Amino acid sequence: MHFGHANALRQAKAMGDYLVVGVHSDAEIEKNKGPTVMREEERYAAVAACKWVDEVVPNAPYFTTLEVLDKYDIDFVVHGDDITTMADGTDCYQAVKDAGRYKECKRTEGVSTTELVGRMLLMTKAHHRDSDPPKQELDSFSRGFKVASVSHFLPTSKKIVQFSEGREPKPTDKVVYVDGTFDLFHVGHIEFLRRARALGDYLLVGVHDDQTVNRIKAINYPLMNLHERVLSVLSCRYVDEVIIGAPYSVTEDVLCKVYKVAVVAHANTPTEPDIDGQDPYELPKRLGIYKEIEHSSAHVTTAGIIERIIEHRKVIIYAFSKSDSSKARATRHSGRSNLTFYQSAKRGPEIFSVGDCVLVYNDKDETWAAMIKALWQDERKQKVAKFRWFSRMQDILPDAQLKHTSWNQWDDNNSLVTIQRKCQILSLPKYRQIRPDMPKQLTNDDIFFCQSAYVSHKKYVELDWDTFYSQGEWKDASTDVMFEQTGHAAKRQKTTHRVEVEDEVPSEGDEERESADEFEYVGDKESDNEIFEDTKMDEDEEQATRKRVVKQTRKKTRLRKSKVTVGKTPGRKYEKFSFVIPKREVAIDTDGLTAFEIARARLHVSAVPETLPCREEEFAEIISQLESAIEEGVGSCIYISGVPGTGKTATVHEVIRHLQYKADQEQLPPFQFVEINGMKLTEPTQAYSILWESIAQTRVTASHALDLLDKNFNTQGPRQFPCVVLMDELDLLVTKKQDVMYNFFEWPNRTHSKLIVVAVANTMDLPERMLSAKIASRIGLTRINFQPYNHTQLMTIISSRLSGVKAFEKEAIEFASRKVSAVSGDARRALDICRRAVEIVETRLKTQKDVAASVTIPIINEAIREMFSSPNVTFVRHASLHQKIFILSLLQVLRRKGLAEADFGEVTAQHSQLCRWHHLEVPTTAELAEICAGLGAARCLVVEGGRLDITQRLGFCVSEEDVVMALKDDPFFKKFL
Amino acid sequence: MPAIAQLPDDIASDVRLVKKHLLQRVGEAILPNDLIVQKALDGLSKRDTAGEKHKEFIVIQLNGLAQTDDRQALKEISRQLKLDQEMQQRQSTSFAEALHFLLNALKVGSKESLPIIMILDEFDLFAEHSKQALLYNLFDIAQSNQNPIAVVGMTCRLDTMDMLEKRVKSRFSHRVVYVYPTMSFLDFSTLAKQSLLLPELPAITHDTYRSKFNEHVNQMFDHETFITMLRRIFDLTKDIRQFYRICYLPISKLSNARPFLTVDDFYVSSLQQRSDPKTELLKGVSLLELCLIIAMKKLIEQDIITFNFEMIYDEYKTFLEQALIRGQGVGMKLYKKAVALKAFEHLQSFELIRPVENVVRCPKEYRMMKIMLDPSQITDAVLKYRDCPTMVRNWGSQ
Repeated sequence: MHFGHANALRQAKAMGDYLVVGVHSDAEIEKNKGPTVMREEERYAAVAACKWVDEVVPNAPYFTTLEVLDKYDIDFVVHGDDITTMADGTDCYQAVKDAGRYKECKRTEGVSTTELVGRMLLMTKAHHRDSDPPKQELDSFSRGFKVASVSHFLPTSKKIVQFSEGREPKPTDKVVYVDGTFDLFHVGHIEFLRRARALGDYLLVGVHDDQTVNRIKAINYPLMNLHERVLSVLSCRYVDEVIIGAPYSVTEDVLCKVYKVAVVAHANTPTEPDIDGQDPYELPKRLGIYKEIEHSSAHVTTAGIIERIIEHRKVIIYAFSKSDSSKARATRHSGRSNLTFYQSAKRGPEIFSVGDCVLVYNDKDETWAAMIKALWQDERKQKVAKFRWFSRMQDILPDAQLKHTSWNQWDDNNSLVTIQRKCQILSLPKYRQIRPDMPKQLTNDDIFFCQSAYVSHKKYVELDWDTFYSQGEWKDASTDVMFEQTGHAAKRQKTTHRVEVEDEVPSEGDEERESADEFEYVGDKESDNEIFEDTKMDEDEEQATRKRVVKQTRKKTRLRKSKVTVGKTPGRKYEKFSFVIPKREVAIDTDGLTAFEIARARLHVSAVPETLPCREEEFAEIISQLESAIEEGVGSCIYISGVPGTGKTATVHEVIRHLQYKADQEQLPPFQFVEINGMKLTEPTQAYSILWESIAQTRVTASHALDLLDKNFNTQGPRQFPCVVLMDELDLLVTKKQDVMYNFFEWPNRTHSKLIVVAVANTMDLPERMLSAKIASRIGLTRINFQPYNHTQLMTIISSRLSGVKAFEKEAIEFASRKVSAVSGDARRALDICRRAVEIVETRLKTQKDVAASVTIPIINEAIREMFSSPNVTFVRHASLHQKIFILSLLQVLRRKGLAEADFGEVTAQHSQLCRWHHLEVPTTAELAEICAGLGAARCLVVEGGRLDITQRLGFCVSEEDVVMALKDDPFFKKFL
Repeated sequence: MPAIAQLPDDIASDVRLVKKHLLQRVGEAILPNDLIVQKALDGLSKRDTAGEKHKEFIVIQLNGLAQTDDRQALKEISRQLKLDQEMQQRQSTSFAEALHFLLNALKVGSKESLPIIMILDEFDLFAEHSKQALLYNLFDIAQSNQNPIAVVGMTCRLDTMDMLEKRVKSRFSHRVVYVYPTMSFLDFSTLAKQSLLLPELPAITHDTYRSKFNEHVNQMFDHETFITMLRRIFDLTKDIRQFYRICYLPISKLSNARPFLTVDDFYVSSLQQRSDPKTELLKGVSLLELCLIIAMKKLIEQDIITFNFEMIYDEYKTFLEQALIRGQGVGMKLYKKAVALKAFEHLQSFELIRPVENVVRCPKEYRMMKIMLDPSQITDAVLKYRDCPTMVRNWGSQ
């Protein structure tokens, strides 16, 4: 009760003779507005204490009707000019107004219950602060108001005059003086004043000023400023006169200056001493006029009121927010245990029940069909419904019927404000009955038909809508599982229907519509907690997605694209996948080619056959791992090692080809494939750019790509496909800090990432040797080692390539395989040898017609020899005379010195000597230098720079045995060796 | 030459069948590798086997000396493929992007696109690039089955195969053609003669002159001196270009007065070619410098290989004093140290004398030096020195 109320009562009294005030009970107010601050008894007493009130009607009805007026014999009703409307827009007093028995009075500016409570709440925050007023704030005293007591009330003398009686005490009257703060005038004050008045005839009340109060009490007291308090006190019927700004201690002036005070009364609570430490009532006590009054309603104190408010704070805030006409916010139901569920909700004349199909808004202003599965009110008193969406088939298949919808498995919780209107969903036969022709344009009627239900892996199954709906099967959560199973069964039987796509789901009630209050829950309340149990999984996803709603409002409409979404038609699926494995070469055109030419073509390394022979085990292992990872949508790492030429990359390509084929056939979710080759990058960090380019089709710098990838793999995105990355030549991607490696093996291990990394390297122990332990552990234990081929495997490989071609003898193939497997087991080498052998035979055939028409062992031998022979011996053999002598002299000098290198001068000396012994013309030093340089360029010798002249050191690059072998056939040199 | 014969066949067959080929030709630098390849390619383009479709191809030539970096090599490739406009348009500044683009351009292709023959000269220099990335990528493209491409590398090193990384080596088809100077002396002289004989060209109208000229050439080649000269060249290096070098002078001297080549011309020019540059240099050295050099030779004969100025001057001084005692040193005077030092530094500027280590900070007279001449060269120089005093000559040629 504040002076605003009193002012209204004063104005109302001025309009008539007899004022009847109806006070609502706590229950009524709580029902319609919210919990009250003061209890009803206190309020009745407060109203009764107002000096203008003649009669109080307790438990007045909330809605004033004409019957009420007549019952209490009332002529007209007075209300403040801030009329409130009901939730549905109707005026509470409409009937009274129509009867002409309604009058308005001015609302008091600057004060309201809400504002007061606001001040109180601000003060509650200040409880945590230091209660001693800091020195500098004393300056603001003069300016009056503290933080909490910001008031818009401007004091005028008129108000005071209006409020005051203006009565003077008679000379015989006994004047009683009381003083106090009278902050938040309440029933306790009223009681006290009544008793004080009973002590005498004239009550004089001293109201302390703000600074005094502030000094004595805590920093934010008083809540109401001096004028407000004075007016509150003046409105009490027991008060005759008020001293505005009485001093804290009762002084001579107080007792004599105004009126002669006979009694000074005070409640029997302890008082704070004054600033000078004295008892403020010392003078009256000395004079003997001090009286104490029993404090009866002790429990009602200003502090107590404030505490009550703190308790009901949430409610108050809610009430405030409503009165501010804020937007309806999306809510999340936090606890499930204490929610009450409803059967239907009413909005004006419309009633929506559980099981109804409705059309719902989204921010694109398109309508979506949904079915209400549950209604409830959450803690914040927001009315929320659980919707089960229907998706439009038109978005999936462009040639589907416009009205064709399908039953989804996605639930969503939205505020009721998003409901637009009801719609009808029928089964196809019934729909045909109503509309025999399928409409080509989207007509305005809200009738749809549903024929199918969506299942994961983008399939849908037939659904008999009539039975489903009418028999309430949709309520049963197990039907979802049923669809799942039928979907899977359908998959296995390969009787799949066409592709379906999850449609967009409207955003969650963020639009500014009318407040949710317009909905009323009608009907029984059921406590149906079961519904929530089995949607637990959805909850997490919903929460995750909801988080994203808050952050990225732009992506709202893409919220619900679940794990498997794909483009419109199957044909357009792969446009964005850039690393499509190249198609296999079409069969070689074999007309007009000889057997040898066919053989040569087939033996080329690039002509990889359909299946890689002798790699079946590894193939099976890799494909099983990848397939499971793609299906489950989790990340994983595979590490493949093997010497060059063992078919690692070829096998992985083969696996990817198979998986892509499977994905085409819709046996697997679609995935992306990226190939990153360490040799093909200038810097390892470019791997990030390449990976990002394949995910998002935009090319960015490496560091930017790193950030984007990090974000991408950290959050669960709606459109994420599994991504398979083949990292070839892994050792070249190792940087000094090894951060590229770390990132690429860390991302698959994140919870929401679907990155699958297949790493290929040459050494088995690369993770342990070159990479730090953290990366090695992230690589995981899936290590597949490709052993070099043994000779049987090589034979199989070559034979399989040459199947049907009669160019090789069997022994020749075996010979070649054995040779190669003994050295390296490199398949490329084997194929090259065979190819070369074929070429030799071909050239031979051109010149000599009588040679054997197939590849035999000697030819293979020749090919091997040609390919792997060292040219050193032949080179020395073909050198010129002086070159040979030079080499020889170097040999001799080295032998003589016993070292590995010799000076040019020494060698030239030896050379000249040799020449002189054999009567050869000695070449000049310059010529010898030229010879030396020539041999060095050919890397027969290792020479230092020519600038060092005769001090340059020479050494052998070819081995001595080669030299000896080359020279020993020559009679001239034989004697030197 | 069988090598030449081999090459066109391989490439031709490849081009016909649109196959990939990796070839490496190792031959000495003295041999015209590039000529061989060029000839093969010419043969290929001219080849028109009866009834067979003749295919065109693109030739891209890279040189390891010109393209010292992978990036430059890429630029060169794109320029030769006439893709450089596109490259600039794409503003691919980084090597990686350029590589990516080029790889894609090369990958995209099928049997129908033109085969590309890439010739890498000085192949060993390409193998010395940082990661052998270019080689890896080229070989990889050649081994995967899209664009038909043949890579031919030429080098004079014998051990190029060992220079390749294991991954690159695995992708290399080990197809190596070795080119050796297998000529015998007979072949060499025949080749030399062929180069000098006038062929039957329509430009040469004067028949008699031609026949006479050829007759002279034939005579010359039977001449003893000429054969010796030729033999000498052949013994040194089997390079025909050395022979060409001595042909320039006589041919340039041909005129109306001397219409035919003679042996003397060749002999003179060969002598010119044979001269040792250092010995020629020593001919122009001053007497004092010559004395210093002889002093150094004396020291070398005493097995002192490194010496400093003081030692040399000491030797020189001893020599002159002894000569004076013996009464021979009439015309020569002992130069002061300062003057001798100046001469010494002059010799140093020719880099005939080089310091042993150039870090030590000691006075320049005491810095240890080495001479870049052989004692025989010095003796030679002394004997050829003009107006050399007898005393010095005796001193120098002992």
